[in-house]
Amino acid sequence: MKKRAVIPCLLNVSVAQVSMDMFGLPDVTILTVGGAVVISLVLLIFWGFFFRGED
Amino acid sequence: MADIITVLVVGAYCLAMIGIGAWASKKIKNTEDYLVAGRSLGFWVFVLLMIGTVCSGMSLLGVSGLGYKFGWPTIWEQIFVPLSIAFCIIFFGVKLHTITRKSGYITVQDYLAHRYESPVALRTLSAVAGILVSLIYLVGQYTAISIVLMWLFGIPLWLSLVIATLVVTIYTTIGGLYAVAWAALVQSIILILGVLIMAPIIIFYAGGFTHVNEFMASVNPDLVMPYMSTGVMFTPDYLVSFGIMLMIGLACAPHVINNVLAVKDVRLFKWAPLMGFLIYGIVMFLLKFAGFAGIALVKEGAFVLPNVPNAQDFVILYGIQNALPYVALWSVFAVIVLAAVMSTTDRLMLTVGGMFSWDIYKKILKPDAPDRQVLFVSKIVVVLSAVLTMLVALNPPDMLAFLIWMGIGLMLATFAVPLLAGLYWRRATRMGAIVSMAAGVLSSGIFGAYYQYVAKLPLHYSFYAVLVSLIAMVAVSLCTEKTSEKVLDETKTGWFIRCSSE
Repeated sequence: MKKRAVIPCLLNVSVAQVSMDMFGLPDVTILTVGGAVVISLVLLIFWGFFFRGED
Repeated sequence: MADIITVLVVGAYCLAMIGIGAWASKKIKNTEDYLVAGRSLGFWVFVLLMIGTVCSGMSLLGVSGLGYKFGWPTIWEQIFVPLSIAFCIIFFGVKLHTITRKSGYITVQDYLAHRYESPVALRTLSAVAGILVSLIYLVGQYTAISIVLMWLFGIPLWLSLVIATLVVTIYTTIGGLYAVAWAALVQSIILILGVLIMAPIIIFYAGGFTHVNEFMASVNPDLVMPYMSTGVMFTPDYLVSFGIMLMIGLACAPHVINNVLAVKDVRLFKWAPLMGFLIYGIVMFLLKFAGFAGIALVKEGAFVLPNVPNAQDFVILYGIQNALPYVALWSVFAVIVLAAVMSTTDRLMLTVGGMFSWDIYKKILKPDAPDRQVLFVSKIVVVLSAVLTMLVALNPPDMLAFLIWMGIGLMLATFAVPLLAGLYWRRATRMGAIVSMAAGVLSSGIFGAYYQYVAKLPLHYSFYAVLVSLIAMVAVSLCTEKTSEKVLDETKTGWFIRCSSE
């Protein structure tokens, strides 16, 4: 296997193992739910930093 | 089941709420004080009022119940419902608050009447629709209160309903939004601390978070997936429509959106969306995890749920009962559920009182009515709405469960399009708004009944209804005369959020 293909493969295995070992959940659940929470938080933090009330 | 400590704990909570009402009543000088708390709400009172308003008793019992029944595919509810607070503040709150500073709106119907130049037709339609939807939602809240009181005290339904109605009605009637907001502050703190302590106890009692997930996967692999691969509910398509319904439907519900008119300063909207999402999100996630724990507890024989149609809604009550074998501690949990229920119930009652007294009585039936009379009518309607919904909850009609189920979807289909189009689309017209609102109400009834009684639809029923409402708004608006530029400028209509109050 080429070196370039091994790294994403290892990363993928590692995420799956962590989510299964730590939470007993498939990685797709961790990634989608966790991703949605993180994106929501980032957007709301962004709003907080940039909103200054009225013009 | 109840002992003296239980009676004392629940009694102390009820007395504290009435005490807040008595304290708040001294601040009430006019209708503006009563319905929008003199526009004086600070950051934490507002954030916790939003959480308390959105977090109903049925959601407290229902969140864990849904988790117990369908597992992780329902977790999106825990993201979309807290996001509804942020959506309401950002997309409705900022503009409405800015316009209100000049126009002095008391209810969101004031805005609709102004923006669409429809002081009678649209105001009446939206107020009547708002009152009906709020009353239906209110019956569901009283049902939740009675479930808790019956469980805790073993008292009959009528007595638990009378106690709950009396307490909520007293402090809401005398203290208006001041009482509701400050009670929500206390209730939300009780709710947050209570769930932070109680939910982990149930999860650990079930063997811990990882064990619960592994157990769920062994029962049915779909239970730990982010969506259902079979069936019609919680499939990816369904989840999109479910998310829109929860996030926008709750955000535009009259009892939620009216809160933004009571805030002291628009700058409080800077961090309020994040705080609302974060605090309520943590509470909701923990409640859902407690529902997941219920799967392991029931399947492993820790307890058996009652043989009733909505057995899953009892999972958190039975979980606490088994994880904490001390009767006195159950009363603490009962107070948490009561706090959640009352924080929505009081706001709904006040919203009904406000919409009738201000939008129908003052603005349509008797425009020359003095402020004192409007205030009196508000209080009378608050009491009447409580008595009426209590009587319906006491003798629930066959259609009740269906109507309560329709609640948030109906709010989405009725209010989302006229509000969003009003705020952001300058071409939206009076006739467009009227037809859109009427089409939303009618089509949600048709699609809801079809979903419930004929055949399941691939998307949540409200999605179709809101689509009909949107098409009606666009088609009718483009065919009718445009709103005057003066009103569009006064109401800050356009594709922007932040605006000047000048």
